[in-house]
Amino acid sequence: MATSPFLAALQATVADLRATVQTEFAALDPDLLNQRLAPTSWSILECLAHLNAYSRYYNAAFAQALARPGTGPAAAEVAYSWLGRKSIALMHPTNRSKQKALKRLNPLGSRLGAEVLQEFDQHQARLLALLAQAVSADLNRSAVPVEFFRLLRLRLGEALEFVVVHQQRHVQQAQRVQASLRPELAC
Amino acid sequence: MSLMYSSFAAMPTPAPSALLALLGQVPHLPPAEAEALAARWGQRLRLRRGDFLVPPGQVEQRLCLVEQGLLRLYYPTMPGEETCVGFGHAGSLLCSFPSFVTGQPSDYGIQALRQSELLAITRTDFMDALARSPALAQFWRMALEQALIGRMEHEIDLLLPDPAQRLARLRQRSPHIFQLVPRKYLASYLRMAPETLSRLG
Repeated sequence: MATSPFLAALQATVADLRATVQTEFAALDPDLLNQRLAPTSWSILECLAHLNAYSRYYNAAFAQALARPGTGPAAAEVAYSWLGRKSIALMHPTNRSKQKALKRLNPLGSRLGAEVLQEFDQHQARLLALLAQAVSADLNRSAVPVEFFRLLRLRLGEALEFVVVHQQRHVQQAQRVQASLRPELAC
Repeated sequence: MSLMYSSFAAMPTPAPSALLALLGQVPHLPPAEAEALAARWGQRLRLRRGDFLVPPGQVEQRLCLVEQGLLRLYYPTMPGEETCVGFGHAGSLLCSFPSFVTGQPSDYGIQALRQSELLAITRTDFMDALARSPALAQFWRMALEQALIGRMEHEIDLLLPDPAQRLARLRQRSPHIFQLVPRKYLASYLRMAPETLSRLG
């Protein structure tokens, strides 16, 4: 895909996710936001806290990658490495198989507050700014160390896509949690 | 200055958060309708463990939102024997439905299993609000549809001869209920002895 529609699509998705979280979750009661459907499944806030943990790392990594001047001119087409393609496919919301989160990125069992929502919003604002900045960058430069194994690097473009599909995945998970928490009539 | 204070004092007391959360989940409910409904949904009920919200034989006049606690709906099958048919927990809308609809005395009883707090709206006020507000009517229809699906699922449960199958279906359908309701009542809901449920784990 050409770089500018690629970035535009990511920006649109991030803006959507941001709006979804603000409109659908911000108004909910803290008890509801913390409610777990099963002992080992995440609450709405735990889904978002997990994303915040990723954003803390990746937003900084993106900023660093963008700060270093590229060697060549920006490529016209986004190209993927094997690792990038695999990571994106694994996290894509259409892949419904459950992936296990690393222990330190797993917020299960926490009691969280509305600050998680605020932090999420700040990360999204930052990510949107980074995506805007990426327009003039070489997206195919291998520049973003992978969170859990930093010797591996993703290309800038595919790393951005990876983070966005990962966010989509867990916002959809949170929406499913919300749907099953909808007040039911007991009769 | 004094004017400011008096207008402040005249403001209605804010609706309880459980009610706001409920109304917040009604799609496209205009704020004016939400306020009008919240104003009439104000009767607060506190039940101690064992208290009845509706004893069998009473006519159901209210729809309740459970703020916290746990209640069971049960049918007195024989003297000294009761079958659980449903549960109300934080966030549930609760009423003895047949009586709520027909105005006939309720065959079912609703009893608090823990100390519970509820907010009630009278049947007349609720029906009136349904007639006025298309958004609320739409939400109510969805709630009824879900309740009907739940009832049909439970009917299938009860037709299955294998207790393990009945348990598996409930686990699949409502995993959260296992964290909320004591085993004894779940066993009754699944039409099995408490011993059978504990053997199945």
